[in-house]
Amino acid sequence: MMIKDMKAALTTSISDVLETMFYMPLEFEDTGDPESRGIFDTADLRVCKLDFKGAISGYLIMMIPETQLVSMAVDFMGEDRGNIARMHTDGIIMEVVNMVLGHMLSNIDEKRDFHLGIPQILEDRTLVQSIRKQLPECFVLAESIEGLLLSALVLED
Amino acid sequence: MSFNILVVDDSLPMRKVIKKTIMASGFAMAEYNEAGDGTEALEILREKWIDIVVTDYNMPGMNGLELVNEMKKDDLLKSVPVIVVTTEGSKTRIEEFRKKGVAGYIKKPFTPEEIRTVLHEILGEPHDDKGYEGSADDVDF
Repeated sequence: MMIKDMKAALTTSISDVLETMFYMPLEFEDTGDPESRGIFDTADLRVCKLDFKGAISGYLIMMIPETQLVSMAVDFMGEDRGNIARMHTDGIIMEVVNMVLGHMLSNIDEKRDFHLGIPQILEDRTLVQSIRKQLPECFVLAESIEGLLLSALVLED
Repeated sequence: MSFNILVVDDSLPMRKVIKKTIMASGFAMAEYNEAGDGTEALEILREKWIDIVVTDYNMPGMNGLELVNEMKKDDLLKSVPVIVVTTEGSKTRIEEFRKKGVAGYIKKPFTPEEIRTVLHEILGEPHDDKGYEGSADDVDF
């Protein structure tokens, strides 16, 4: 599968998941590049990684600022902003990564089976710095009213 | 008739959303129970009468399908209908669910209507005759 097809599938999946379950409209065009938009330097950036195995294997990593995750948790759970704690926002980003990757892989080929791991919150920034240094070919920068979200799909050789 | 429901998901936000959706769907909920994985779910199932289980597939520890396997081995639990909620929607996986005796399947991302439809298929028409007396904040779809 061509990278551009993979990127299109990832974009569609992000859009489907965030619009269907979080009622969050996103802009994908003209979002610029992640470095110049400063997403890697966002102070409250939360990062989640999910491994997958199947006809293609690798991992998806998503980076979303905590402030945006709080708003997503408010909309998703119907809780007041003051009641949202880190355990809720971590739950939100883990669920988003799980749904985006599962939905994308199902849409690519519904006949092929695949296995998802368990989403992992990355407190260590080593992988983020590595992605910053060399952005994977398949990445999607999306923009909501509240800010940016970066998703990168890394395939195993 | 009202139902005792068990929602199994390692994600607290997802448990809340499923609970809200079920409550908003008009099905009378006598008692709402929740568990963070299959092992915890089995403990609840062996302690309480549960009419229907709504479980995530991909969880650490005992996953949704392993939970179904354990329930099918137990004479008291094997007839309790189970709905699996999952992102893993390949045909192979859906067939695997069917063979294991899963009563319904909901693919994430889902809309509240999709949950309502599956509940309707399994439990019949919604009856809001008794209902779960939860917070009104829980039904804001």
